[in-house]
Amino acid sequence: MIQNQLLSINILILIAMACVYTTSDIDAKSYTYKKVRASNPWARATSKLAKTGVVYITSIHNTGERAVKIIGFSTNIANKVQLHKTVTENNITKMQYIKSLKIGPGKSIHIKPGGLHIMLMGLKRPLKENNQFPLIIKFETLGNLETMVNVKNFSWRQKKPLKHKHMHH
Amino acid sequence: MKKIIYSILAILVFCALSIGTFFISDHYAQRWQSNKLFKAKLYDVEGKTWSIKSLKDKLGIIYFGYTFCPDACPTALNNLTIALEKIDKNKLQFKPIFISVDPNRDKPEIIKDYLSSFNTIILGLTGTDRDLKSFTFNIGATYSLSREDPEDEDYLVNHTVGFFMINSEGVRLPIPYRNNSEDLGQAIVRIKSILMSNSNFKKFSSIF
Ligand SMILES: [Cu+2]
Repeated sequence: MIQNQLLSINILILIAMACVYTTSDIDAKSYTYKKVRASNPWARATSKLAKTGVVYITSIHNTGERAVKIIGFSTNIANKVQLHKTVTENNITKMQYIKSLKIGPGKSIHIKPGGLHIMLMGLKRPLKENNQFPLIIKFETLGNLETMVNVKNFSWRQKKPLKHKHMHH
Repeated sequence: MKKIIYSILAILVFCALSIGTFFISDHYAQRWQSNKLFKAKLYDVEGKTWSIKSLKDKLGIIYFGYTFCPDACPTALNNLTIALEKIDKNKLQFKPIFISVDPNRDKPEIIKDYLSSFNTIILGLTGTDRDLKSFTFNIGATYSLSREDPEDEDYLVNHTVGFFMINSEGVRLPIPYRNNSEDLGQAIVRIKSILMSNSNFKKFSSIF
């Protein structure tokens, strides 16, 4: 009898933990302004002397019926922020500055490693794991979408997040 | 009397042999030196000079990049460290090497700091622009600064993507570009077997 009760309490705790994990995952990392939603802005932690950093955004979704246009970013953590694209031509890799980017109605863009990235130049301090900093996405005519960027460990192959990922399945 | 003659003869033979070996080794040394890979002086993050001879019996896996690069370079190096952990757990076969082609900004302490973020020990190297140009050119890679304003300190560097495998004799092959660690690991194993089967007869003609 007592064992059964203990078991059910255990299960309850597990379910509660799973809920906390999933909700924090969705709520804390999505930012909406008018018809645009930015999900999971994150930055790679940098070493102490780094002068550059990078921000990725899992998706920027345009839920509206008109196209929107990203015309820039701003943050207080670096002197300069630019949208870049890593392109490889003839075996040479380079970063291209993207001045503006259109998102069609109902469409999304993904800013992820190896492709588009938001480059931070002239970092004012190193990006430390688990810290946060503000990043504003500027849209033409629409206005500014304010987000908070989570700093994650450099390598995305750590032990903890793997467990964490299992909670979703 | 005989003893003295024998001794003189012995000394003469010894001299002839040493002069001979000197010329032969010098001949080979020149052949070695004709390969610019051996001439280019690179140095590590402690300021010590490095040449491909330092690889000894390991195979170097070289990546050309710069620490200012926050997207392509860490992604590639991260894939490499994951791949090597799988195929070379005890770190006996391969030596991962990062060569900064931005010596102007990448001082040794900055390279050291940058590489400290990775899980595996990566050898960090750089050199003068002249040595780097010659080394990259001779290995089959290239780089160029993308800088419109010479005063701009936030300039970017375009560089060859991917890795090169090389042994201490200068035999080398490019590793085809792979964007995930699993495929990269397989490519490394394949390139290693090609390079090993070629390295014996290529010993004295390392340019190919
Ligand atoms: Cu960039």
